[in-house]
Amino acid sequence: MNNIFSVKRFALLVRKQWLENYLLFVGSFVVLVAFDFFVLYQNNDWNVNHKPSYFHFNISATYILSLGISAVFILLAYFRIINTHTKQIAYYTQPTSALEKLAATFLFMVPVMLIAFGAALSISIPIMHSMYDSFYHTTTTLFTKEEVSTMKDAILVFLTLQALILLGMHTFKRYAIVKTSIAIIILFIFFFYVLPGMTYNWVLPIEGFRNGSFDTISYLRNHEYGQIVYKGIPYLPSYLVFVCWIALYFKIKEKQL
Amino acid sequence: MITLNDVSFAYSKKKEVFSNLNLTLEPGSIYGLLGKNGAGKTTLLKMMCGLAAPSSGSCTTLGEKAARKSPSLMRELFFLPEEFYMPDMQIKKFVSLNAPFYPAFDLNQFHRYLDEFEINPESRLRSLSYGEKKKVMIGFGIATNTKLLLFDEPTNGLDIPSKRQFRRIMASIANEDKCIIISTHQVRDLETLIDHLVILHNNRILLNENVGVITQKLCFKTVQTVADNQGILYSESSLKGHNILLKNAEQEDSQLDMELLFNGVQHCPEKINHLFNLN
Amino acid sequence: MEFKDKHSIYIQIADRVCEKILLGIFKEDNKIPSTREMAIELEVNPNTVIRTYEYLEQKEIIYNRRGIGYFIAANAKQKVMETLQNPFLENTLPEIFKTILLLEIDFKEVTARFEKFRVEFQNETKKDSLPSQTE
Repeated sequence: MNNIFSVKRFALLVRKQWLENYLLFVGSFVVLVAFDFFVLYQNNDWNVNHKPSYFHFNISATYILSLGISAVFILLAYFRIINTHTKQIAYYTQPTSALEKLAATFLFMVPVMLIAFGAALSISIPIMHSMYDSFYHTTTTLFTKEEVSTMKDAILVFLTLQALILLGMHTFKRYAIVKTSIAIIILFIFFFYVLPGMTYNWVLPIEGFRNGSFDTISYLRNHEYGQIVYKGIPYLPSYLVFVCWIALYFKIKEKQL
Repeated sequence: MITLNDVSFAYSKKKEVFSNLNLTLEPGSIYGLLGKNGAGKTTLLKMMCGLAAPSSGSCTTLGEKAARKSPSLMRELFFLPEEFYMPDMQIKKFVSLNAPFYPAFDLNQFHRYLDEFEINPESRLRSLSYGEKKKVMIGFGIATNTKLLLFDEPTNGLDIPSKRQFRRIMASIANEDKCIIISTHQVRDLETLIDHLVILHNNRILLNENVGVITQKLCFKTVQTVADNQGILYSESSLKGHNILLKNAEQEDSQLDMELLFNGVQHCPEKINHLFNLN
Repeated sequence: MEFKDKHSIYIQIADRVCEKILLGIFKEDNKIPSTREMAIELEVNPNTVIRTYEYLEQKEIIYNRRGIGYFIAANAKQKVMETLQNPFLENTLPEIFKTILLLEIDFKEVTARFEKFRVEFQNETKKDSLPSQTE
């Protein structure tokens, strides 16, 4: 018998998790769409006399916020599956392999989450965009090239955070959320302050990193060494994502209650 | 069916639950797992289904290392913890989501049990009481027709008629291929059902014996006055007189009183251990 | 079923079977309930009933037809009576005598009551055994 991965068992597991949580999934999608409309509407100055160019900024803001919200919702759904001892017993005694459990988690966490997030944005943004243009009689371009690249980075950062939180949920027995948050803050400080500081003398220009935010990236872009590092930076979280998911596999496999 | 080889287990360095535990359980019996609170009954059950891995030694269930929790093992066992989770949905839906994982699950059988427990299969799980939910879980677990059933305090929370129904159902499913392990404090509920006792005490197994063998070696009596009989291992007073536990020197036939035995084992573990290890 | 103290459960079940034989509920060469049916009825471990049946088979009160089940032996009633009469006369009856003497009960009273009981009992058992006769 195949004890590593069976498509049938995987399908059964996905079906079970979907049917147990679909109300939450559908509900959070509706909330997400409503939220996107709300932010796009609320943050624009609809006073014709001002004619501001808020819209571009607002799309970015909506993008980041709704990414955050969808990540929170999907984590909440997963949290609902394993948040108590009794639920964990049910989850881990289920006749499915660790890989099937991991794959089901990944399916909901990454593709489903991104599709829901993308769908919410593609409903709200074009509508609000056309409303905006018809209101001001303008033709704004939706996304600039730079915005698109920032958005890609943002997704990567969110996926990293998400994978870290999942790993934390599986690692800590009590107060998992609190402990995970603290661990993530420490990790963040390490990556953006300590590591660059330590490597200051030989690779990284510390001036850019001292700001401690993504602004550093624009600085790095124009710097001789920074160029090399800058190209590598987006890959750093992506490595972390892989590491986290692999670690998660072993956490699920060796879970004890 | 289940082999624990030199198993040690500790939740933390201070709190050791088992040390060098050896135990072999065979199919064809209903095992009663007895022990005081905190003796490690639940931990032992968890170990058998891979939810707790021994810190040293090995626990093999159905020929597989339990801690791996491989699907081929997990679909052949059903663990009913004392506190369990049931999502809020209709019983029908609960079954349709969970039963397909168990290849031998029998829906008709499950409905027969619901019928016996007087639970409407149309009802929503949220609307049921703890005892009713437990009955649904017991029925579901038995209907999975797994080779191994691990029940942690199954009669807790069941009302008096349900306890009877539980015994009837258990009597109807016990067979030579199945291994049923029941951990319990409520020995009176299950006394007639259990045919093999495992008593846990202070990190070790004090008694692991078939009921027939126990009554061969020990005699359970109720007497008016306790004389200084040389064979008396333990006695306690009751309304009817004194319940005494003594060595069965004269091959007398008596009914095993599990409560008395359990108390006796706690009282003089060495003597009883000695009695059962000698031959 | 409530089990009384003293004897192990398998013996108590054997006693029940014997009682049913004496009452004529279980008749010679008739099939008795399977071990499983009996276990469910009495809420006991099937292994215990298997032990009971093996014990009764050994005593030649019942016999096994492979693949069909257990049947009451030809002179089972006789055998049960033989095995039970002596323990009763030697153990139980003296206890009753002792009580009669201690309570100073007139033995005529005992015989009168015994006669009355015998009539009632015979009527009862006739009624009881009717359904199985029609089987």
